[in-house]
Amino acid sequence: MRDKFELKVKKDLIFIALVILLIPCMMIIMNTFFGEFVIDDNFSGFIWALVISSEVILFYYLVTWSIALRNESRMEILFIKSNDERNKFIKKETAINTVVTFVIFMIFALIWFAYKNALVFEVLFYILNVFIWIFIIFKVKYKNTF
Amino acid sequence: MKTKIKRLRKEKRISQEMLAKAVGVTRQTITSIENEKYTASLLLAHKIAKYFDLTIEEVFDLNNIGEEE
Repeated sequence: MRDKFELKVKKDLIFIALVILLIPCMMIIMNTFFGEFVIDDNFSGFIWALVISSEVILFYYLVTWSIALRNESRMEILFIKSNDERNKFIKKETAINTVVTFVIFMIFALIWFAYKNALVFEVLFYILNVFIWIFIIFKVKYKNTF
Repeated sequence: MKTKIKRLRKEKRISQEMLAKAVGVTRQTITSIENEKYTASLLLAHKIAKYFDLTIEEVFDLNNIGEEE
């Protein structure tokens, strides 16, 4: 079970590294082929904040998990946290895996529409905001309840 | 669900951290079980009972489970 977990951590690391590289690559490609943002300054500020914050968060996980792969005690802590039944229960109730997948998809969609269509971008922006608030409320609720 | 975990820990001078590590969960899970916020699974209940050399019934109060829900 522990070996399987280590393999999963390695796979997740590769995925995170790919996303870290893909986000700025997409920004560069879009900037090269489509020029400037089609959204106003406030929304473009949001895009930059979203890109930078997601890169920082992903980089944090990349470093933490890389260290855990080389350090037995850290790997033990990571293993316990991942397999803790209460954590699993909260993750299931808040549908965190779906949320993460959705947010990653939304980051790429928002970057794309920031260069292509301001109206679609705004709609996605509000959807993401509502989604994030619902997720935060659920997370706090379940952390306090269980 | 009422449990005797806190009392048993105090008697044996075991910290939540030590118990958590021994049964393979986080300290927060032990806190939640002790505070009756979270009900342990059968497997975890078994591990905790085994850790104290007791049966599940001796550690967990199974009498009023239906009433709580």
